Amino acid sequence: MINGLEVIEVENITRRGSYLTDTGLGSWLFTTDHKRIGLLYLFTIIFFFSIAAVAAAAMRLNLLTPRGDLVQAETYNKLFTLHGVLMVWFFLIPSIPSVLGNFLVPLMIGARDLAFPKLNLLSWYLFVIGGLVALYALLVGGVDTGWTFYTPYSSTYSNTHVVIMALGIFISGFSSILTGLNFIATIHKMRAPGITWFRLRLFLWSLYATSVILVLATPVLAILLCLLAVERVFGVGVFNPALGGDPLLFQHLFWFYSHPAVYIMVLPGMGVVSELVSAFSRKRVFGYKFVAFASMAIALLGFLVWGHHMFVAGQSVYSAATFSILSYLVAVPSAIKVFNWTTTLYRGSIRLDTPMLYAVGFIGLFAAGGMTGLFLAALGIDVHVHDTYFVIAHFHYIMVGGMVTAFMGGLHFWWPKITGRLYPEFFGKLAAIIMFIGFNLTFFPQFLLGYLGMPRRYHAYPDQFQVYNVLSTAGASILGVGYLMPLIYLIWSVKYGKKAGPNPWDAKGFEWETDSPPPTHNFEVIPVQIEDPYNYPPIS
Amino acid sequence: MAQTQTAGLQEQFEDLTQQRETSNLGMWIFISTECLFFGGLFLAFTVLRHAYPVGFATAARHLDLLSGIAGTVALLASTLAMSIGLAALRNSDRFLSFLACFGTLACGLIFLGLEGSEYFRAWHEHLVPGGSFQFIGPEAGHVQMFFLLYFVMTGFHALHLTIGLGVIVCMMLLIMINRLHAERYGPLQVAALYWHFVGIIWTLLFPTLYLLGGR
Amino acid sequence: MNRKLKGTKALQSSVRKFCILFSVLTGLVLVSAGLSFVRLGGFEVLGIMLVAFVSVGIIVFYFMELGSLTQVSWLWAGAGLLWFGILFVLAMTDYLTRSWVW
Repeated sequence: MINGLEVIEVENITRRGSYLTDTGLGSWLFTTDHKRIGLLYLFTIIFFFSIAAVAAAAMRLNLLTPRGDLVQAETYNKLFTLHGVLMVWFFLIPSIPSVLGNFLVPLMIGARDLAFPKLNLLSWYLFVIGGLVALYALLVGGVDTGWTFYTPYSSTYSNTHVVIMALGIFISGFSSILTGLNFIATIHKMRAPGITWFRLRLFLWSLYATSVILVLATPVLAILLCLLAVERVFGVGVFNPALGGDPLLFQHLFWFYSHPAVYIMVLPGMGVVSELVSAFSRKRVFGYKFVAFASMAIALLGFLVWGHHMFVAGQSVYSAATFSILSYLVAVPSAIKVFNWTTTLYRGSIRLDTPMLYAVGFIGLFAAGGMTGLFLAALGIDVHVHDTYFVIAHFHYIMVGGMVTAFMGGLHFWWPKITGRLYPEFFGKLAAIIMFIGFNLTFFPQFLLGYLGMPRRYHAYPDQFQVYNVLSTAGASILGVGYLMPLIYLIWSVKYGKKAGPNPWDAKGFEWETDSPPPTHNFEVIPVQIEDPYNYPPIS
Repeated sequence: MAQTQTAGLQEQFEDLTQQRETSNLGMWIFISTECLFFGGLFLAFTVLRHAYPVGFATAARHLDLLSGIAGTVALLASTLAMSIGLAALRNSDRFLSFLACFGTLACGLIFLGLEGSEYFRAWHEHLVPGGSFQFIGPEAGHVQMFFLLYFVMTGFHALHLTIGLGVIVCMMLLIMINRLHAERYGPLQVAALYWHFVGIIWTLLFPTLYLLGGR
Repeated sequence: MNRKLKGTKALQSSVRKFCILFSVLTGLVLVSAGLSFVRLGGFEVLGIMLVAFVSVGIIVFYFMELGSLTQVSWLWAGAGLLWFGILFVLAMTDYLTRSWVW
């Protein structure tokens, strides 16, 4: 029995437009297509990234000279707050999950869309609204508390627009929660026939782990920001010790969110690297189950270590010792991953295309960032390097060296799928190398600066630190070139790049079996997984 | 490829069971999120109460126990009505289901009324934190701290409850126009989960705020 | 007709079950309110919280039907509880041991 609706549906499918065919503004703003929402996120985070990058450039320029000739101390405080807030909440946290995750999760599990497409669109709107509120706080004068909003400074003494900024972050937090919720429900309930848990792509395992953190950590940040705003507005001490409150309570709640949040900022990157390493050495990922469970272990253990941010803040020594030991434990699953990627390369048929350059860069930079994290988890050493540039260098190795590198790698790898076009390989490789060099030149000197005792968050410094600061600023300018290049050639390739075809890398996976760019409902027939997802032919 | 169109089936799902199970799971995930949202508040309350037991006990005695008990029983009754509503819908009794949803709505409104009168009384006795706060005694600062947390905690609960009331009104409309019935009860099930969770929060809030520290 | 009758029977039995549970929950509220009037050297606090957790358990298992749910929902109901526990236990470790000095 064929009714009218069915006929229309069949016609729609036979016309075979891609998801990019409609071009009206309304077709983008009211879309519930996960691929389009992924692209909306991409445009949005590039916008916020650019603003935050300008703030970083201003800071690096200012630090060229010991006297801080470019900006005043107050302006400098506002710059690093802006840089931190925008980079953390409006670039890094949504980067891989909301852009590549949105685009790829349904494609990888063989579904037509995420479980809750309307919630997905809502989460993008919340993100944009949150971002606009944060930008408003910037335009009316900025915030000078640092991205951590430590009380009582933020709740009592700061004369800047803390409440507005907190509101912006609060709103965008719900966007994170909805995205996480959507991914979890999708991965549980929408897998195509044959995709058992151990035939699930490692990218999906890592996104599942990320979503666990998004869903279970973000609400604590939300309530914390509410309490902060209430304290600031009503002048009643929950956190302000002068009014009987407890400043460490703020730090406990803040780091209960923010430490797991740094795993939000690296776990998806690990997932991308697992995919890239496998595709470009044409081998199954070594120790698949270990890599998968390591993601879950990081998601859980990441919640047990937050106190290592508070070693010198006055928490109980017993508590500090406990947190220190637990922090060492997180290193175990992270190291398992690094070993497994390296072993995957062994006797692989390795091709050093652009995405693979990024992946290899990730492994090295992440290892450096992870190892220096162990220094900071050690009680005694942390007293020496706490709040110095050592900490800055450490987390930039994870977040920029790790997550941004992985994001760039993933973006290049799936770019042909997203746009249907290839990017120019030569410029791709060149940009990857420039980025790697620029990154190391920017942040390696900061390890030395921190070890020598230069504290973070000052706009001026003693003369003996100048050499390292000049090196770092020089590196930042190289890094800037590295970021500008992809922006130009990727946009160019949308129009002039070579047609990619469904599977330009000859890689395994459902997303490579459908057209590039994919049709609106992803698959004409829902595919069936009949073998291991990384079943590459043996290398002779 | 051509599928038969089932009423109320969204295009990303294969069948209604998958759709219902997925939205059920989604609500459970949301509930776990909410657990942590209120968890942060409970932690703040516990830490500060641990620091200032006397002030918090003094403040708690200014809450009206009888009104608290009445509100709690009203919420439990609404939970009961909600469950009956879902059971009725599953067993094809749409009229009873509608009636039970109305009962839920009424009990929820009674709860909000009782809480509103508590708020009004607190305002009348100058116990609302901020400029108008007045309390004579050595523990004044800690009493104010208690009331700040009281208003934030009950306020967020009331906000959740109000959203729940809106959802129930929508459910009643859907039952009325026969969009919800014995074959398609998923949305009401999800709404019921949410409503029960709001009840659970109050089940924990009531003893925490009214009873700890003794009367 | 027969099927409808069966449905009514099932409905009646679940309404009866819910009503009994409601009376139990109301009783528990009164018990915990009563506990707040007695002094048992701190144990009354324990009692009040215990009663609250029992009530929550009843709502979760019977009203939210956790007893008859798929494994996945168990997983996520449990996750909420577990993470709530992590937040409380690790934060309170700090507060409860802060005054211990050598």
